Amino acid sequence: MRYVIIGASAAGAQAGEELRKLDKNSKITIISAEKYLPYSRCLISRFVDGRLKEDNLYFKTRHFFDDYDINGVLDTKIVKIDRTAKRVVSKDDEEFAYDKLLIATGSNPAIPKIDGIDLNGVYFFHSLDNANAIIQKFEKAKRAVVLGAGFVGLESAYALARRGLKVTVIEKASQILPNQLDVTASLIIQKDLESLGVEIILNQSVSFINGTDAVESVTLSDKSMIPCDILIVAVGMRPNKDLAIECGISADKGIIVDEFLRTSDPDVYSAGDVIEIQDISTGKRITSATWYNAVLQGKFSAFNMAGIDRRYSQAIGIQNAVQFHQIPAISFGKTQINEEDEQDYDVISVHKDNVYKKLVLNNGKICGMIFVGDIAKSGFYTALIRYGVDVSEFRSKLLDYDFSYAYFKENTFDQYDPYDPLIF
Amino acid sequence: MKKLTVISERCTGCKRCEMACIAEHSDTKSYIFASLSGFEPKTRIFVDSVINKPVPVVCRHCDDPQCVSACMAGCMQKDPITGIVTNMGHEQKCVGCWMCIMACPYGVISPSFDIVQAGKSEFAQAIKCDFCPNRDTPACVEGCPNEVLAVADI
Amino acid sequence: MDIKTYRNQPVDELTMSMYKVAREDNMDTIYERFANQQPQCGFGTMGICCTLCTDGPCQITRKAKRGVCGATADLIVTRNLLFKCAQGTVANVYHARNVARTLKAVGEGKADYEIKEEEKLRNIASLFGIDGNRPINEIAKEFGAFYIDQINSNDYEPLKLVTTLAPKKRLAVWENLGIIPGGPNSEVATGLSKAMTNVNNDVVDLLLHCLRMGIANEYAGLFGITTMQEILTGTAKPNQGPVNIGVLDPDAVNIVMHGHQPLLAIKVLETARDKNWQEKAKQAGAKNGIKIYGSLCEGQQIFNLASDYKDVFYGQIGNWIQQELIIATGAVDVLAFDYNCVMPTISEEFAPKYHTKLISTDKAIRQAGVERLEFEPDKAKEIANKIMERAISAFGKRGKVNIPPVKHNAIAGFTTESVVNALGGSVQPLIDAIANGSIKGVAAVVGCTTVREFQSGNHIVSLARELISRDILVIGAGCCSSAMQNANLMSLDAINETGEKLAPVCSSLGVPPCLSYGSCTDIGKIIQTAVAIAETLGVDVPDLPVVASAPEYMEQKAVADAFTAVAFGLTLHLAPAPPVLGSPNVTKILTQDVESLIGGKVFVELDPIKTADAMEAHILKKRQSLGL
Repeated sequence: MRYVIIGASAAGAQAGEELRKLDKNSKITIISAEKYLPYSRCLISRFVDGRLKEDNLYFKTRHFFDDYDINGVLDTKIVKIDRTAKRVVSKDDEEFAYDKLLIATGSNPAIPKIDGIDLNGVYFFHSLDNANAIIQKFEKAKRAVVLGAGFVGLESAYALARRGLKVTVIEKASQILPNQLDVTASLIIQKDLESLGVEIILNQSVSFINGTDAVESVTLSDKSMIPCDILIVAVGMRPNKDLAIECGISADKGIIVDEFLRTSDPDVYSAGDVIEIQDISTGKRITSATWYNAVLQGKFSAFNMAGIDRRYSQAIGIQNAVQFHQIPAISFGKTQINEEDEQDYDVISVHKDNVYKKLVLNNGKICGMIFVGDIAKSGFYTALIRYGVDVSEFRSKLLDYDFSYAYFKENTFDQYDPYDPLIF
Repeated sequence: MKKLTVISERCTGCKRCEMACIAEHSDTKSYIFASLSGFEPKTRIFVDSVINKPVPVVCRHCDDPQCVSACMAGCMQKDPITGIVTNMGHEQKCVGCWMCIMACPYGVISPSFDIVQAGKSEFAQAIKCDFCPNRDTPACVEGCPNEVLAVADI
Repeated sequence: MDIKTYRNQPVDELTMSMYKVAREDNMDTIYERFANQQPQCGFGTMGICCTLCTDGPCQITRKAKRGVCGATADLIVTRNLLFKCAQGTVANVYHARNVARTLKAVGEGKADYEIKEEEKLRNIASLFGIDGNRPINEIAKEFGAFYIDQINSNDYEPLKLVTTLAPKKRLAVWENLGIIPGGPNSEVATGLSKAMTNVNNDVVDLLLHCLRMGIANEYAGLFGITTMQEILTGTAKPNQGPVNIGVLDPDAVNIVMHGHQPLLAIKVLETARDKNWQEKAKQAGAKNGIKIYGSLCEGQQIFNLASDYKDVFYGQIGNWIQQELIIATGAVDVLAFDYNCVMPTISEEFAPKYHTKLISTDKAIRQAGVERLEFEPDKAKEIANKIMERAISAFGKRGKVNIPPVKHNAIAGFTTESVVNALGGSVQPLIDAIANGSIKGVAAVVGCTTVREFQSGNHIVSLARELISRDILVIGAGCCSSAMQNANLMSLDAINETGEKLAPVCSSLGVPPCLSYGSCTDIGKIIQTAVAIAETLGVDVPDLPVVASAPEYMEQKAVADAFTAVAFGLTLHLAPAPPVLGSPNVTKILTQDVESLIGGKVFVELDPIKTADAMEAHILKKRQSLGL
C-alpha cells in the first residue's frame, strides 16, 4: 500500500505517524511545500519573541521521519493531483504515486486588498519563513502595527511587545477576539494586553498602507495615521483547497469530507485547516483552523485510510486556549449568540474581577463556554460539550467551585474506567 | 500498562493523597515546606466532592489521550512501554499553552505559574500526574489510609 | 450557586431573598464557605481524628486501628466529645456568672438595674439558707455572691445548687451512678485533665464525666441564667410581635441586639424611649425615630419581655445562619453583639461592606477592630446612650437598602410560670389534656441551625409541622424558635396546621401549637417545666410522654445541653449525627445502653418525617407505661 500525504503540519505528520503504527510495511510519503521538518505553527510567536529556538519548534522531533520510516520530502510544492493515474505532481515535475492520498495542505493567511500590501516590512505571521523575516527586521524596527485582533494578530502583538517594540493593534470589530470571546471576556484580555503597553484600536480598519519601498505608516478608516516599521497582517485564513478543486474534488468553504474524512473521491482523504467541518456546537459548516482538530482529523483519517473505520463526529469550530500576558482564557464551542437567537439559549455566568466564566446551554446541554482567569477543569466542560451530555439536573451548580467530573464519574468519556469494579 | 484503580466508597475525603502528591513533586519532598514556599502547591490527584460525598478523580493515562492530541508543542506523550502520559522529560518542552487543559475530559491537568514566578523558566507549565516515575508505588497510593487507591496492571 | 443544592431543601424566605442580594454584591456567605469545605474530612466527621499531641495527628483508619499513643476509636471519640461538652458547660456558666455579678451589684447599689421579681428572689434564696425576711438588696447581694461561689467551688464536694434544687428521684439515680457534680469549672478542669493524652482510657468514666458536666450545666449554668435574669428583668409574658426580615424599617434608625445576654438590651430598650434620642434620630433624617430589634437568642429573650416594650421593640429578625444576610439589607445601623454566636465575617467582611456599626458588649466576644462597650452592671445606661449615638451617626452612612417585605406575627413569652398562668394557675390542666389525649405529648424542639445537613431551619420547620399535625405540643427555644417564628408556626395561624385534638386546646387558650420559651439558655426552663410536671404526677422525668429534639444542633453549648437532657432522663433526637460514628461502641452506649442507666438517651435521624415518627413512637410508649 502506498500512502501519500500532502502537508507535514499537524494533520499530515499525525496521519503519517498513525499510519505507521497501524501498518508496519506500507510505504508512507509526506510531502511538504516548506523546507522545514514538521514544526508547530502555534509556537511561532514564542520563537519570534525569543523564548524558543528553531529546534524547539519541531513537535515531532528532528528524527521523526527516520523514527517512523517515513519518506519525508521537503521543499516540494505539489501543483497537481491526477486522480485517474493516482499520482501527485510537484512544481519540478516530480511524481508520487499513491493508493490512498491525504490532502493536508492547511490554510494560508488571507491577503486583504489594501494599497501598499506588497511593501517591504509587511508580514504575515504564519510560517517559519515569516518569522525569520520578522526577526531580521527587529534590529531596525521600533514601531509595529498589527492588522486584526484575532488570535494570530494578538499573538504577534504580544511577541513584538516582548521584544520591546511599540505595538498598535487595529481591529474592525468592536472587540478583540471577535470570533472567540464575548464582550466581557474580551475586555478582560484587552486590559491585560494594554497593561503591557500594547495599544488596541477597535472599530477601525486600515485604508492605506503608506511608504515608498518599505512601509512607513498606515492610514485608518477615520483618516488618522499611525507610523510603523513593521506591519503584521492577520485578518483571517484561507484554506488551500485549490489543488482539490482543480482535480474535481468537492469543496465549498473548504474541502468537503464525510464522517470518515473521505472526499468525493474514495481514495482521497482530507484533514486539517483545509477541510470544512460540521460544528456540532453551532450546527453550522465552517472551516476551523485549530491545531487540536487538525491532529484528531489526521489521526482519524489514518485509521480510515488503513481500512479501520473510525467516525470523526465531535468537531468543534471554536476552540482556543490562550494566554497572551497574565490572564489565561479558554473558549470552546458556541460562544457567541446573535440577538435574534437569544431566547433559544440559556446563559449562566459568574464574573468577579479578572475571573469570568460563562456557559451557554441549549436544551439542557452545554454548547459553549468561555473561562477567563481561572481555567481549571476546562476540559471537563469541553467534554460535556463534545459529548452532548445533558446537565439540566445540575444547572444551578455548573459554575460552583466544587462542580467537577466527580458528578459524572459513571461517564468514562470513552477511556479506561478507574472506578470499574470489574477490574478488581 | 500500569493504571490507578479507585474504590471511592472507601474515601473519607481526608486528602492525604493530595498532600502526598504535593510533597512528592516538591523540591523538599515535604508537604509543609511546599505549602510554606510562597507558591500554592499543586496536586495532580483530586479529591472532589459530589455534594459532600468525596470522590477521588485521577489521571487515567488514557490509551487514546486527548491531551496528547491537543498538545501543540509535542511534549505531551504516551510512553509506548510504561503507558505513562506526561509532558515532562522529553525533547519538546511544555510552553504553557493550556491546550491539554482544554482537552482533558476529567479536568485533571492544571496550569502552574510558579516556575515562571520563581524565575526558573520562561514558560508556565501544565501539571499532571506522572505516575511518580521515581517511586515503586505512587505517592498517593501509599499515602491513602483507607486503601482507596491501588495500582493495577492492565 | 444554588443554595438549595446541598440537600435540595426549600429555603426560607428571608434567606432566599437576602442571599440573592449578598451574592449580587459579590459577598461570600456561609453557603459559599460550606461549599468550599467540601468534601469535609470523614475522619473528623466520625470523630476519629485526634490532634492532641505531637505524635499525631492521628486518624483511625483501615490501616491504623490505634493512634500513636495507643488510643482506639472509642477513646478518641469520647475525648473529643468531652472537650465539646466542657466548652459548652463553661460557656453557659460564664453567662450565669455575668448575671450573678449583676445581681450582686444590684444588691450593693452599684448597678443600673433593680429587682423586678422580689418573691422569686426571696424564694430561691431561702432554699439556700439566706433569710428571706431581710431587705431585698441584701438578699440580692448574698444570693449573687453565693451563686458565684458555687461556680468557683471545688469538685470533690457535691454542688449545693444540685443537691438542693434537683428532683429527688433524679438525685437518687445520679447518686447511684456517682455523678453528682461539684463546681462546674472544677468539673471541667478535671474532665479536661482526664482527656489528656495518656491519662484515661475508661470510656464509660469519661462519658459519665460528661453527664456530671451536663448536670452542672443545668444548675450552675442554665438554671442560674434564667432565674436570675427573670429576677432582674421580669418573667416572660405571652405577647404577640412581628418577626422576620421585613420588620426592619428603612425610615428608622435600626439597632439590632444580637447574642445571648439580654441585660444590656433591656437598658437599650429603656434608653430608646428617651424623647431626646428619638428627636435626634428624626433630625438625622429617620422620620420614624429609633427602633430596636432582636437577633438570635437575645432577640428571643427581649421578645419574651416585649409586652413592656412595644413602643421601642419592633421584632425578632432571624437565626444564626442569617446574621450576615441581615447586615446585607444595608438597613442595620448598629449591631450590638454579646456572647456568643457571632461569625468572624461580621466584622471582617459584612459590616465594612454595608455600613453597619458594630459594637461588642462583652469581654469575651471581642472582634478585632470593633468598638468595645463592655457591659458592667453600673455602666449599662452609659453604654446604651453611646449605642444610640453611634446608631444615629451610622444612619447617615447608609448605602442602598434592601428590605424584603417578609414579615409574620408570632407569639412568644412562654415559660413555666406563664404556661401555668395560662392554664389557670397549675399544671393540672396540662396534665389532664395529656391524659385525655387532646395533647398526645410534648416535644421540645430546641437549639441551633446548621448548614450541614439542612438549610437554615428546614428540618426544624418540617419536624415542627409534623409534630403539631400529630397533636404533639411543641416547645421551642433558641434558633429553633426563630426558624419556627419565621415559618409562621408560632402564630395563631399555625392552629390551622394542627391536629384535630390539639387545635381546640390551642384555640381555647389562645396560644399557638408551638410555644417559644425563648433563648437556648431557656432550655434550662424547659427542663424545669418537665421536672414540675413529673413531680406533680409523682413520677420521674423519663416516665413522661415528652421527648426532645435538637434537629439542627451546631455548637458546643448544644453538646453540653445534650448531656443535660440525657442526665435528666430525656430521650433526645439529634441531627446531624454527632461525631461519634467512628466508634460503634460509644454510639451504642449513647443510643442504647445509657437509657437503662439513667433513663435518657440520644437517637439520630436525618429525615424530618422519620424523626417525627420516632418521637411520636417514644411518646406513645411512655403514655402506655403511664396507663394513658
